[in-house]
Amino acid sequence: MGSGGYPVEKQVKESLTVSPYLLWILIHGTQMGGTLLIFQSRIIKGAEMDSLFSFAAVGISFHFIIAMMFFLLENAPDGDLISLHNQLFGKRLGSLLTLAFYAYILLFIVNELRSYMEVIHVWVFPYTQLWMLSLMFLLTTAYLVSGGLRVITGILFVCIIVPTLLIPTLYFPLKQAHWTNFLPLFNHSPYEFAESAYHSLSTLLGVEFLLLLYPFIKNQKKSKKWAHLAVAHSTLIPLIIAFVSFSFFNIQQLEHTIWPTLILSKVIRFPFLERFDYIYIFIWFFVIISACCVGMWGGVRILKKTVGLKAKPSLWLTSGIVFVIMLPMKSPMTIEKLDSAMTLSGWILLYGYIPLLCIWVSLSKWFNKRKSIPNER
Amino acid sequence: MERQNGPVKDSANLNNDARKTIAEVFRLARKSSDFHQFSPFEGDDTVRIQISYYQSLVDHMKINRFLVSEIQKNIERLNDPEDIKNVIPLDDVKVTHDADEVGKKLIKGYAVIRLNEAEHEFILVNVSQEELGHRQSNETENEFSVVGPKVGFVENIDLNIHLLRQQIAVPELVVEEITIGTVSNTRVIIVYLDGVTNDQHVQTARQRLKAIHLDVVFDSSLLDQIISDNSNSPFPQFLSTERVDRVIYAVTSGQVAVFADGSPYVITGPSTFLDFFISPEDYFLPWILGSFFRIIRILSIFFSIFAAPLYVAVLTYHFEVLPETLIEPLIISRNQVPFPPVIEAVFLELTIELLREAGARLPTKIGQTLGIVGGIVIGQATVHAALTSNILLIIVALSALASFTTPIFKMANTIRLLRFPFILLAGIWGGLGLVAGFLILAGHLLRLRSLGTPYLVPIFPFRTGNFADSVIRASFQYTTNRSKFLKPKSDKRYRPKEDKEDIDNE
Repeated sequence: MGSGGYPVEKQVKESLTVSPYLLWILIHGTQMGGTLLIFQSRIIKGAEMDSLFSFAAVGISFHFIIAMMFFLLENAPDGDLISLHNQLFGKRLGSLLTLAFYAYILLFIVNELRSYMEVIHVWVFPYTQLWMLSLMFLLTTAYLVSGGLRVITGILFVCIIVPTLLIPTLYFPLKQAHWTNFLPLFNHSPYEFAESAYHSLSTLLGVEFLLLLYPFIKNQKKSKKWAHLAVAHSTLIPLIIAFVSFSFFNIQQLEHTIWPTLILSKVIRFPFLERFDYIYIFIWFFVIISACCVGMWGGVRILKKTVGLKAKPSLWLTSGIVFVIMLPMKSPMTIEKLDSAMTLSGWILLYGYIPLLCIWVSLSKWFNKRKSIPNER
Repeated sequence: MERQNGPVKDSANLNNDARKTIAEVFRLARKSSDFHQFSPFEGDDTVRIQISYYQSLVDHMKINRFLVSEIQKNIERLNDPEDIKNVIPLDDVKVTHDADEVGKKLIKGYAVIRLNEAEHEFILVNVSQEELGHRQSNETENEFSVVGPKVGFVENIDLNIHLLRQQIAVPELVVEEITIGTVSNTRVIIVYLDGVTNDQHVQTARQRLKAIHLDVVFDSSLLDQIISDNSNSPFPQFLSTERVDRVIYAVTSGQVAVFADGSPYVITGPSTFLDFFISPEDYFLPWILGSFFRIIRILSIFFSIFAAPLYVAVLTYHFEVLPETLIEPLIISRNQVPFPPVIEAVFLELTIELLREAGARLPTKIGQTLGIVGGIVIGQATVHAALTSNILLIIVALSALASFTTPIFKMANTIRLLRFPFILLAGIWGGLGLVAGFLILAGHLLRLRSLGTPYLVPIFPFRTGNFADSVIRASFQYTTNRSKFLKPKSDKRYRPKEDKEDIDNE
């Protein structure tokens, strides 16, 4: 058994898989989320206008994370995190760690939904009960997720195409750009850059679902480039938005603006449409629902694999848990708390846990090799 | 006793439990007053011949001229059934030993000849009158086109196959017959192009059709509903058409067509969502015009579904979206209206549906009156009575108009139905409800399949190389290939001459 260890392709049934290029859609759609409305005022904490570079650096580092994930997945028995956990830590401890990832997924969904609900609550329906909004979002998500990964992929396709149509509208704020806003460049300390980088992460989270999606991809060898493309795409779009907002707002304005992207869209005006920000708000439904769908699907998959629940009950269970978690979150302050929790756990997961797993897996591979060589002789 | 021929095996028959004798078959038949039995000779003892048939099903000319007269002429030479078979100058004559089969053929318009009161040997002669009671031609009134052929299918299946064979004049056109319906024994025919249509589609269609258990097949649309992949969907999953050219196009591009006797509508599949918005006229006009009209038709789907709901959403929750210049006429027109916009919109939409339904049920001559009374009188009166606003009336009328541009009737109905949930969602959640509704609609469409092929292909799963004839209708030199998602066995439809235009081409 010398070199490889496990067979290369670790797929589920052929009829459930999706083409490799769809991994682009799946990862990019999951990464884009509600934070895109808000992230500019977060990343400026630290390096101010220079935070664009910190953001780009985080984006680039994601390529290494992706590469590490692929390494892990190729060494997992079934090609996903669940089987890897079970292999490395045994059934009981492995399941426990997988359930910790489930908790992380719950946090991910709650963060997406709660931040978007706040937008709806403040901008459109100030008198609506929050639980009614969350009920509607969860029912929509549950219906979409119940169609399986292929339907989710299709929905993500729609959810990427429609918001992409909004990017050209950024031309209108650019007409009033103050290019001097960016100057002077590089006048911040490394610590400030690092602080900006720390706050950049929550906008880009979502790649970790590759750890669950991988077995559902056809021709897994070919899928790598699409995952990298997805990450590059997801880094580019916030960079464009941040660039336009930095040229439009100065730093003091940004510090006091909660949703810079929405304020940005208010300058757009058509003879038949006074408030273009409404279009942004409603189309952002597509952006958050895509992340929620993949998140919910991942949760269902974990419950199915660890606890042994069937897919439909675990879908309802996950939706129910998310609904209950969101019930007490009435204050707007929770959004900041959720975001800091999300950022922290994201850093721990992506830059702590995954490299650690990589080291563990390569060490154990190395030991196995050393052990097996004498046996073969 | 062995059953002798194939097709009968397929039909689920009411009385196939027990073997019957010929006496029982005749006893049952004699209860009907149109059953006729006679003997062409009286008094001759050497040979006794008895002819039986249903008078209402047979062609009397055939019986008098070919059957009776030939038997009378050759009476001396008739000693056994084979002799009779040889003297009758008709193509469908056979000898059978099965009394059951006699019963089945009698009700299909065969005459039974019994020689010397034989118990187990009968001659079946096809003297059926197929054309009687059927119209011979159908101008495609329901799927009209200004340019192009006007001939449509009729209720007679043989005539329909004839129409198809006239246009697809190759032996590769395969016609497979099965019988469905325990009472009606309807002939159902699967048509496909051998060497082009993927076997999987044919196999799926055949399997699903054979699994059908019905008493009467009234129309092919019944089969359509039963063999649909998801019967709990408002969307038609098979295209049904009365136009010959549509069926020819479907069959040549690698789809399966299903004909049912007694139905002028033919169903074709696997169909995709875009297929329902293609009109044959697109191909009869220059490609620029064809594409333009097709785009208009596709945009009209969106307009038809979203226009009235948008009005409701904006006027109920988001009036700040409108600029002052627009909001003013809206306020003026809605000034006296006592209802919220949802009720106003639902009321008007229901009125339009009433008009449409009444128009469909009334004879055409009264229909015109209905148009005037409904469209003009009621429309004007509701606005004057301040039950609805002028602007909504315009929007609703336009969206009804837009929904009528869909060439396939079933799809047009679906689109009109979809407006109601969207209006309600807009009334509850405004723009958010519209987006949620759109997502759920997309989720539903993504789940649908037609004969196992995804419904939204080639948009999703995204398939390149199929867009020359989808949203636009490209010039014929680019539509040489069949759609790949139908998995045809041969890709090329035709090969145009490779003669590209160039500047000063010599």
